[in-house]
Amino acid sequence: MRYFYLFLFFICSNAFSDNLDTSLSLPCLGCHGKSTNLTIPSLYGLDEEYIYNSLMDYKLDNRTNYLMQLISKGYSEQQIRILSYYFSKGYNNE
Amino acid sequence: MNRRNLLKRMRNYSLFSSLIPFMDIAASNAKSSGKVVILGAGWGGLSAAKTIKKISSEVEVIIIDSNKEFVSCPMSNWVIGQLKNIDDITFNFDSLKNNYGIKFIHETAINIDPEKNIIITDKQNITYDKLILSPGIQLDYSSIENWNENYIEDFPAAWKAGKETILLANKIKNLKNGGVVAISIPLGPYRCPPGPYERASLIASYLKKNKKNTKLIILDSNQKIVSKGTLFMEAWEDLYPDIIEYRSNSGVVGVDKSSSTFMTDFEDIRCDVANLIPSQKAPNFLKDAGLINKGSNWAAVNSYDFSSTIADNIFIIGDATSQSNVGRVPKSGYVANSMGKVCGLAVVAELFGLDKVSPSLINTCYSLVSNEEGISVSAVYDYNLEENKIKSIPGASGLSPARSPIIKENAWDWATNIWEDMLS
Repeated sequence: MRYFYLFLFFICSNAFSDNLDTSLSLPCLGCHGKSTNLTIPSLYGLDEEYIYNSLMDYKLDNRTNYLMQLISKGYSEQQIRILSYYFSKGYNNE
Repeated sequence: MNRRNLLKRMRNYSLFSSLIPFMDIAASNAKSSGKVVILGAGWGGLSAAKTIKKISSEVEVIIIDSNKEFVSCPMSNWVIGQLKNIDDITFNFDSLKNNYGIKFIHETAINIDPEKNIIITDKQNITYDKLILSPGIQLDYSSIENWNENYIEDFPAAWKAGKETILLANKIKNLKNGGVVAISIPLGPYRCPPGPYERASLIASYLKKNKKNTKLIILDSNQKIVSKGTLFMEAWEDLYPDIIEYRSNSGVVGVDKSSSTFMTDFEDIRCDVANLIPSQKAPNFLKDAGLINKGSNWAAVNSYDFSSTIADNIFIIGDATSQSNVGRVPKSGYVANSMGKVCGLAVVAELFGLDKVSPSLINTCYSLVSNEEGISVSAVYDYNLEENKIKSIPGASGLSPARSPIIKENAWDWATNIWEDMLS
């Protein structure tokens, strides 16, 4: 866990300010967990760019899913970057 | 924490201050770092417990709840609608005990002494460094004329999942053709705003297929459907035009047990199944402990971290909190789960003397409108500094466009996932 935060810290510290950290991902885990056999996908271990592009596409209404089009608008581009990083790497560090 | 300090912290906020603390915590494993007592093994309490243990395993976490199992309130309407069994929504705490070292005490909390940092149960006094209260709701029958607590069998609420859920499910199953089912809905705020309307939909769906010429009368104390109104109305008009009768401004004000009758201000309705969902408030012992402001029914908290505005070292989360403090967030399972995480982080921050992270919450709430189709409502929330409240982020809240079978599948998968999030 500590290495994860340390790593995240180095990756992100130059780019972002304000309250952006892994606590942001905690509410997402209500729907997106580790199980892979559900109609709501697990995001753990997916490619970071894929998650980022998907969330940005939802945010800009370039991809259709009524629910994710709403949820993605709750996060800034920088926050989406953080979330993408967490989900692409987070599972291996827990 | 006073507001001035809080504002200062907000202004000084940076990625550095929000990440370094947790690295420090992970590095300080050897120290004994405090004792957190959590009242309530529900959606809020379990989420807080697991969050604390995941960040800082050396903190002692004790959960007090008289229930030895977790019976999920969300999805309990599926049991009443005969789609699932109570066993499908009942879980044990083994994984939290074995994998996270969380201790469970199955006793009933009676009072709190905030001066001495003690919570008092029916069997013992338990000290704490930090106390998290996630006690849910108390059903309030005081406005129901002729009410007697022995009437539960005849007029179950089934608003806390468990015995009454099974009781109501059996009543629906054993109903004769040509009968009358009535549901009384209280004025808001109450737990799970769309819950009564989902229940009505699922009962109607079952009646349509299994019980001929049976009516479902909805007696709503509110002026209109509280949540997802258009979507519920559309479904009812399309699917149950001859079954559901919806009456607004018509909550039950009294009962007659001998004739199994609901009384409203306008009429008496004899029922074969009478589901009385009464008004709700925070449990009485919160008031006894001085954690509720005069004139309010709900616990007073700071919206930034869900700490009590009244007592130090006490946090209150979930349905028992006051929306006039927190902001317009629904009393839902998902919100309690999000609040538990925010509060868990805040408690760890306080134990280690660190800065708190700004709260981020989500609510997604699925409801079935039949045994085949569902609808949903979602929102993302953050902390609004000017108003000192949790607010939904513009553009990030709304309804599903129409009812659909995939939303029903999403609903069960959401539950499966969030149960795992809290319980394993």
